[in-house]
Amino acid sequence: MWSYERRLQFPVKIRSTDARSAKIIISQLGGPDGELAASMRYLNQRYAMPYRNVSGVLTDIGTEELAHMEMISAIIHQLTRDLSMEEIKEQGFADYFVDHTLGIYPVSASGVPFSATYFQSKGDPITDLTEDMAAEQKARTTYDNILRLVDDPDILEPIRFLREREIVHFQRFGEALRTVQENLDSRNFYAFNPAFDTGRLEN
Amino acid sequence: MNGKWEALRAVSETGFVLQELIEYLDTHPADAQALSAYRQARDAYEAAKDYYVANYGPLCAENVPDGEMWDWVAQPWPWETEV
Repeated sequence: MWSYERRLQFPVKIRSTDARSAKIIISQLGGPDGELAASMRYLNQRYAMPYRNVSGVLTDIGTEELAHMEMISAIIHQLTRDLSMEEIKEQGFADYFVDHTLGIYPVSASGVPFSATYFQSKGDPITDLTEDMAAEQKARTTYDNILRLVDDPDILEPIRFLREREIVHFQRFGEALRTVQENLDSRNFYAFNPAFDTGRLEN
Repeated sequence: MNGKWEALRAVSETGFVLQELIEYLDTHPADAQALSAYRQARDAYEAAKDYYVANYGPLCAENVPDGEMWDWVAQPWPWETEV
């Protein structure tokens, strides 16, 4: 189960609204390498993981990603609060506004709604952890691109924090993958699925 | 910056150190230095939370103070700018 703490993981306090930046940053909520996909990826992958410390990594990082989702949503909310109809039209926000007004809805920067096809839960620890390492790098690249596109220091500070978390999590998933590889049966040098094929490898 | 913001910042900072140590310990469960840092971080985080809750209101729905009103919904939410 989960419990909620009434605070953001890192403070978000944006003074000026900017719908253009909001439309870019929303990709880290509902886009292909966003925080919603990250959290669903790790939390769903836990059950087929045969090592308790690796399930621990998935649980704790998956939980932290939920807090990142809340930070991104707070950024979008603060960037779009109290926008006038003129600003909505001038800042290219009309296409989002027509479906969601100023509510938060998980879409990519190009407006594609969130989809579970953005992540996998393959039931194979090596496959899943390799995906997780790639996912952290893809999210880091997306944050790099956001940092290239945005210049308000109020936005940059929390985005830099989130970017650094991708780097740390990439490291943790690398260590988790090493745990799995070190535990492979010595006969299993082709790295068949250690969560499914155990005991089925005859030679 | 007001006292409430500073108190919340202390919760965030100590909470972040704790989060980082938890994830590190998941892959380094026998690291004695990290275990000792975890204990320190946990105490600092609990102290920062206790101070915030005593002075500025509940952080969890489980620690709403006794009173006439349900304080949990009287406070601003974290995404509001006046926090």
